[in-house]
Amino acid sequence: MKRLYALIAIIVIFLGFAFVGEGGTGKPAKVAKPTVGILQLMSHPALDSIHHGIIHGLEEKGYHPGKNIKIDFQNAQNDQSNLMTMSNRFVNEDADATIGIATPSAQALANATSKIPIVLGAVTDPKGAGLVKNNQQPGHNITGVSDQAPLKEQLGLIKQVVPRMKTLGIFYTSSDDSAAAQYKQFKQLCADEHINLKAYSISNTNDVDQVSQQMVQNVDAVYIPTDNTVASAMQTLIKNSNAAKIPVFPAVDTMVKSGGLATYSINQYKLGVLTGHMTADILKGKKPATTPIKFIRHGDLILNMKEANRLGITFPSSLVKEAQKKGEIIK
Amino acid sequence: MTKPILELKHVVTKVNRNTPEELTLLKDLNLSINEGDFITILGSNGAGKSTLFNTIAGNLTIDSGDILLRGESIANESEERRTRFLSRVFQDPKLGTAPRMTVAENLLLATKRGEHRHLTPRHLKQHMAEFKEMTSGMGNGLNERLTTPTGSLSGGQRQALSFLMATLKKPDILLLDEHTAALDPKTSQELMTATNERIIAQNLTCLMITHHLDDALKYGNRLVVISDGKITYDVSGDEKQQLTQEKLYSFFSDLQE
Amino acid sequence: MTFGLGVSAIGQGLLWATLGLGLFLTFRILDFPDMTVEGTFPMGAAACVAAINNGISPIWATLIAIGVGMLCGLATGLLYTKGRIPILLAGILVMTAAYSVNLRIMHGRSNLTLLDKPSLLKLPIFAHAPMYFDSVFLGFTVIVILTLVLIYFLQTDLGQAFIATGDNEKMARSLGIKTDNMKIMGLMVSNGVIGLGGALVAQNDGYADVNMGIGVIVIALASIIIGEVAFGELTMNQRLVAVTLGSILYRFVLLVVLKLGFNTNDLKLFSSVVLALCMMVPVFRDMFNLKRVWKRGISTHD
Repeated sequence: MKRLYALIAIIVIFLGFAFVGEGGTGKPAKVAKPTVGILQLMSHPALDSIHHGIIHGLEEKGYHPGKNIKIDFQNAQNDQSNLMTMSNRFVNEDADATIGIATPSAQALANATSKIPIVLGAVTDPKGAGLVKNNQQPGHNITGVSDQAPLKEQLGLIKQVVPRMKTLGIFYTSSDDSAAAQYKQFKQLCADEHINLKAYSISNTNDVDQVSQQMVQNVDAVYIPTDNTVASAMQTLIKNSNAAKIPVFPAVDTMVKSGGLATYSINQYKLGVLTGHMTADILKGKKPATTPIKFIRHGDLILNMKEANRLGITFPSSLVKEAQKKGEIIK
Repeated sequence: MTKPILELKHVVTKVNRNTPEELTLLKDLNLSINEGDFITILGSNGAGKSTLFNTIAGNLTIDSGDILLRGESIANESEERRTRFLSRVFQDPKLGTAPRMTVAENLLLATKRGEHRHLTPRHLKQHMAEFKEMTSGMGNGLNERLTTPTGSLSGGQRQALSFLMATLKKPDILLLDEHTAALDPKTSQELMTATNERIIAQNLTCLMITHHLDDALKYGNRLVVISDGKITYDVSGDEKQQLTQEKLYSFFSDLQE
Repeated sequence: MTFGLGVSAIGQGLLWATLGLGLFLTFRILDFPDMTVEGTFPMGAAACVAAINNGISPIWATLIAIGVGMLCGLATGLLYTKGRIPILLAGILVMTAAYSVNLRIMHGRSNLTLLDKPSLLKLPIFAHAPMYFDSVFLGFTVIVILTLVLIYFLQTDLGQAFIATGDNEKMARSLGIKTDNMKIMGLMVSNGVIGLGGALVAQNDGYADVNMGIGVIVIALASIIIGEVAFGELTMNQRLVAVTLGSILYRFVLLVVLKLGFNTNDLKLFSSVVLALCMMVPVFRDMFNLKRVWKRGISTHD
């Protein structure tokens, strides 16, 4: 019981000191080496390659981790209560810039500081997520690179490869905000082009098998937006789509490698590199408020020949040539 | 002649209804209990003594017949609702008290038996003197341990507490289910004496199941034997006073033949 | 070094303590594990953030969060008492269903932000507080009020009947306490408090996310158990205070772990190990017979 009161006393005294101290003391003397805090939501191949890309991008602009820049990398392992603690850590070590990989980490950072610049990596729709006022003129301390897939280009590709398509299925995770946002945009695109779109959503990987089985009975082709959960269960989906001989068009190259047919893909690594470049620019004095959000309009064409043979699909020769020139062909 | 306070009429109680294990425990049982009766109940294992208590208390629902309290049927009332007029002491000392609450808190709970409980302060302090006096009457040191969690009391103290709790707010019917059976002979005897005194002092109507023929003869004004789900023997008054162990033994051996 | 991180940990500890207090009512008093919390917590957050986004004031939005939390508790309580579904399962069912409801509340989005929106932490009274002190002041106010309300409640006739239900159900029934109603009430109050926790944490973090319930039961358990292990045998009132202190201590443990540069991949393992060790303290004490037998029991006096 004494310990109880003792602890209360310690906390009160600590807060008292902090209250007085916080007002007076300035920030500790700045070291010459700038600090960049990177906050990643969880371990995942796509997010990891963004992380590696960022490091590469910083190096290209002359910042070498450990030498003339300090990188504080924190991975919340999908535990949202950690995001706050980690964001505060960056603020407290007075980082010069922070990078949020995936939407929740960006939001945690945005909530922790309105001064330290925040660069977004892999946030599909910064405006929709309420992070910036305007994608052209972000207005606050936040800017970044959107990982939104070139949806229009991708829809065009599907029409080219499956010209007699009646119904297109879209498969995404309801709990993934950016996937849901892409679904809404894609729905609009399909409506404009008079394509019948049927949505199938899952709440986690356990739903993939059954929902995708259901889906392949009812559609002629499947589109998958940038969706980390579906990406992790790609094998299950492909097993079912192959059985029904339905082609799958994912938004991301990694998903083509694990059994998708084709895509125009934003390279996650390149995305990271661009994020790294933008961070370097900000470290050199560029203001986030006036730096527009960077969107990638054109992706690299990726074709999976192995999958095409399995499904008995032949790509138009123009596509094959394009992929050979500026893209990738998986054999 | 006093009027009956509780009547059981042609009561049939079954368990595991509509299953292959269906069993009829009470078979057309009739019992009329008068105000002020102190009835001791004897019966071999499985005869239906505990079933009778569970049926009166509402733990078991009846299949046919009726239970009347002062002439009105209570057969469809829930167990909680019947606590307005009924209280009970179990054989197992663990069942009668809340182990993590103190003696005084347990007693306080019992003062509101069968009542609605509201968001009003419990006023424990105002009851302390009363509780102290009451517990000292049990003569087993319970009065010294009012602020002790009941989990650390001895079995005898807990049963004495259970008994006090059951009679704190005077019940119309008190059910004692071998409440001294789990105690050592000396403690058991002390509790039995205290029980008897309090029942007589408060003029309680009481049913007591016991395995001790001595106790069954010594206490109460009426003795009932249950066998195979029915009342097979019912004596009261002078007839009961003249009853001896030998007579009871011969009665039981007759039954077994 | 500034005090910032410590102050932030205390602030978060205070806000998260609501969760511990809510779970205390079911886990320690009614003596069963209620998994509903993992659905109630994000639902409180979602309801509060959605309400604020619809222009409702943060105070009302927080009260709405308490309301939806209580509805979750009611659902679990009815399944458990009237539906005769085991409590663990009833909680898991409601928790699972809550996921879909949460998506509905947030209009099909899995994540809703509060950026540029009012919240309890942006109330004018906190405007001049030093960094992180806003959450400390808010958390402190809420915890003091909540603890006092709970202390009062547990000392009323109704509260005593509630404790008795968890302590000895058979006895409670034999005293005319409607134990089913007590359990439903306990689950409602408990989940209402947890909904409040969700609303506070969402306002502190600046967003609600449909996945934010994952693992919160461990955080709530940690507050309760660390509080018990750290302070030993206490009265009921002190135990309620110990939950809050446990929650703060847990935040400091996490802070130290992060500070030591632990690989954050191991954080969950670390949390579980700490919790398991704390829960085994009684075994160790018995083994070494250092102190009198540690009791987790409810002991109160006046």
